[in-house]
Amino acid sequence: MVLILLIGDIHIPQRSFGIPEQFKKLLVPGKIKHVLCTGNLTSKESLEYLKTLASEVHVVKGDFDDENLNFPETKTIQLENFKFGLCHGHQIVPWGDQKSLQVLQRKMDVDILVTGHTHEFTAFQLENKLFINPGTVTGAYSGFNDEIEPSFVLMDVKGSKIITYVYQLKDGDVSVEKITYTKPSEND
Amino acid sequence: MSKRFKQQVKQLRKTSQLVSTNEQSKISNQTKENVRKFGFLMRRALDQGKIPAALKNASQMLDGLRTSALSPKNYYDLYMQVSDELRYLEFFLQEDIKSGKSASKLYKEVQFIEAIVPRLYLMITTGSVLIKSKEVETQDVLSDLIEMCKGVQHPTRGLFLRHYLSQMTKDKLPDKGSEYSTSNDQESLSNSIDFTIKNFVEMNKLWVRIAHQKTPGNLTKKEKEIAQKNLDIERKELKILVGTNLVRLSQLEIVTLEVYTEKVLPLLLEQINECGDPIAQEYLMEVIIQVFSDDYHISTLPSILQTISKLAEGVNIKQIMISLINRLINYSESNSDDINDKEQIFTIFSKGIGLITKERKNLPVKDLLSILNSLIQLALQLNPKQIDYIDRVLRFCYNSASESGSLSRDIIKEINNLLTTPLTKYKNVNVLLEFENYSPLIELLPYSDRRKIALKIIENVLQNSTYIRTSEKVKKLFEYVKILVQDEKDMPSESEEDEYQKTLFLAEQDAVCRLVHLLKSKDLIESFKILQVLAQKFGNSGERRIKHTVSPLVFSSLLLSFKIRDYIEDNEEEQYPLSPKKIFEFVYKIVTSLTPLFPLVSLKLLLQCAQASDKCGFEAICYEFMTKAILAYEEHVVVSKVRFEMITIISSTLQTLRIFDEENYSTLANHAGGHSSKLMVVNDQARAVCLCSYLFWIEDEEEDDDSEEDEEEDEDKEKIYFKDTKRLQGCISRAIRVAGSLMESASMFQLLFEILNVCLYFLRYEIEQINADYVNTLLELIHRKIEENNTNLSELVEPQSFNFYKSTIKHIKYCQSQEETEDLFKQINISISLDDLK
Repeated sequence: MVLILLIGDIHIPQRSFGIPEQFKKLLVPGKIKHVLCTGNLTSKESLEYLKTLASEVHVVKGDFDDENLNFPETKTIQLENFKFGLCHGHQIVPWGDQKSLQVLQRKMDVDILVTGHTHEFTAFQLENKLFINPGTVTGAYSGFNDEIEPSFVLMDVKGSKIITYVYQLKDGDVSVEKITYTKPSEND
Repeated sequence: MSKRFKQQVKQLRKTSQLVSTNEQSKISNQTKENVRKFGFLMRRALDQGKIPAALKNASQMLDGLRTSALSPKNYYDLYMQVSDELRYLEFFLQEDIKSGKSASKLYKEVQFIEAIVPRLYLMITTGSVLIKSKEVETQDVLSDLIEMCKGVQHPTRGLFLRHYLSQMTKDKLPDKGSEYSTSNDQESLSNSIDFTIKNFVEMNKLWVRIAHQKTPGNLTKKEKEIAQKNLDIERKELKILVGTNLVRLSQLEIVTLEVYTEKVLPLLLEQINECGDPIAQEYLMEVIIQVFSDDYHISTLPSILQTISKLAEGVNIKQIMISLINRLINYSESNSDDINDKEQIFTIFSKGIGLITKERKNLPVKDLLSILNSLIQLALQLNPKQIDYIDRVLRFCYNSASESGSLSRDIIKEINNLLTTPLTKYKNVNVLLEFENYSPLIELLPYSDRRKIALKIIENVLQNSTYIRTSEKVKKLFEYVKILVQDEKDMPSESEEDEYQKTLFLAEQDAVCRLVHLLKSKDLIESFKILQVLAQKFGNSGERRIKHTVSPLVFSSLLLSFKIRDYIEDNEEEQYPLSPKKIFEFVYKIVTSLTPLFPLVSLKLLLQCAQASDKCGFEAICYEFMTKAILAYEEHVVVSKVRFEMITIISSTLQTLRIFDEENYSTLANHAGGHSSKLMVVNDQARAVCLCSYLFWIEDEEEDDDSEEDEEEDEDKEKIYFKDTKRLQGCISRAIRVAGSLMESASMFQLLFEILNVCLYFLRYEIEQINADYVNTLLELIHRKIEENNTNLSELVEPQSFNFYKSTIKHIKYCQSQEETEDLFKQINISISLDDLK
């Protein structure tokens, strides 16, 4: 069993003063094995924070990340039986479009595509592939979605099965939703 | 005792002079040896039941305590040895009395001993036995003993003798419920108090006089000084002997609050006042503060403070005051409800400190500030809501510190504490903003300390998520932390900064940026005022800071524009004085003025502004933002890689905008397309141009959501926001052409696969130009390009690229099998591609 944190669009300090306390209490070091960050951190401090949560931190570059931070545009990570693709998503036009994300998924040749940018949690399956956007953990401002709820995602990966927990902050309360995904066998 | 030694002791006693250290240890060892010897004889006599002989031996043993030659410390060691022996004697005598002997007789017998010191020690020992026997009234024995002790006036000898008296009587003092009190009336009980106070007063006098003992005459001046210093140290070690009396008093049940206030404390303070000795005064005040209970202190504060103000010059007033205040702080922490008049306590302290500063002109400012710091802690503990109290103390601090000229490191440290204490206590900077004297105190500090405190204040706001909700408060806050948003006269120049200071600067600006998100009112008009205050502060803060702070200012403004829009939508009947337009004009000015300085930051912000003004329905403004963004691109972006990034962000932003009429949109799209096709690097050009194809077929999703059944005939028209299929196809064709011209085949195939996917994307819109035939042509092109290379595709491209093509073909197959896409995809011929993928 591997616990993975999907998190991104942090935007501290430009758009937010910090990760909500309710989330900080849940995000404790020692349990999470990998952090997959969709980018827009947008400071070194945010990166340092992620590094306190897990030893393996994978980050890709967001449109507001400093050049000096030197994150790659995309990254693929093999975890258990899954190949994860990570990309911020501002490069994918139209932004957040499912069909376009599907193209990226094919391009990266991955089972699960993790993107951000829209500041809205989404999860869907297309042609047996899983697409996840963990939203923004700080509830940062976004120009194309003005009702933003802070969110992040925890994934429990076991062999070919993934249980996804979505944490969202609604009116000060944390809500958790569970989604199960099983990788189809190659013959499908 | 040998004759020689006896004479030696006699000689020394006459001169009443301490002898050198070597000499002392010699005498000390000899005396101890004698104590052991006669102690042994005494025990043997006792064991044989020979009481008179035992008393004689005891007296001989006690002769050792007659010396004047020993330092207090050496004398103390000797005393301890003797008192062990005497304990044995007392125990034995007591047993003897139980078997029928008269204690009174014994008490009288020892009075015939010639030498006074041995006589008095034995009187106290037998006196203790006498009290226990209850043959006479306790108080009679006590007053007899206390009178007799006056006979020894040598400081060290007297002090230890009285200590012995105190030790032997401690469990026999008449008190409420004590077995040695014959009557319970207040008067007879108060004899215990009198006895203890008398003993205390005498002991204190003797203790003070130790300081005046002469040092050996044959010493040099320097040696004398050292000897005096050692004497002081040893004297301090004896302080506990004097203090024990006060502990005893505090343990007496009869010392009620009334008795303490009326009788005990005045006598103690009188003695402290009269003795005039710094070491004694400092110690005794400390003991009083520590041993008596807090409610006693609260009732007697004025007289304690009065006494403190009059203590001798060398007394550490600071320590005493802090001890006193800390006791009250601890007390009020756990007994807050028991304190009736909290304000009174504060007022008394204020007056007391006023008196102290008046009486003691030499009190160092750092000590005064330290005391005031404790006073603030007390005020915060007693009643944190009484802001004016704390503010008054801060004023006092400011006055004291500013009068003292240049500030020492100690004073700076105290000022830092004074500023931090209320900050950490309140955990709410809004309270701090009510002070009048907080920022003047900050201003007294040197540059680096001002920086630290400013950062601390902001960090406090952030840690506690404290919102600051009025523009006036925000202004005040920026008085406190102004050092972070402006250059100061005393700051080092940028070139002088080391790595640490550079990092610190970034951390500070980071904190200021985060702070911006907590400066907002629920009233939107007030929120706008706050943003205007920030714009003014940041605007004058210099490029180096603006580069960081402009972003949070703009994002906060855009968020506000959404809120104003929503408010106006929800309250249509109201004439709201503020429109999102005002906000956009406000940010427009800020962002465009920064374009020449920070083109990339500015460009990205302009696009954000365009998106927001689009959502709020301001076409002209949105157009202006987009124009300025494109101009920023044209005029300031030169690096090839960055040009690609920026033009793609411009295009993708434009793709999300829905406010424009056809003409405006078309103009902007043309510019985006034109710049894309001018990119130098072929890869970039192909990708950017291909991306532009999305600009020419835009469905209006929002309209689609709202369309009603009865509007069905309009649906088709409403669904499309903008379409220009010719230009769409133009983009894709150009991208294919550019890609096809690439020399490097791996990149070429990768690009063609990407373009293929874009074609498949548009297939579902049933666009005339982009249909299955068009896809087939592209697949054939790919096939031809592979053939031209005379090898397999897997040899030409990276595995990931190969898989990309493979899964694209698989996707086509999938779409051909699905009912809703079947018609659109069935004409695509994938057979050659499947061959290519083998």
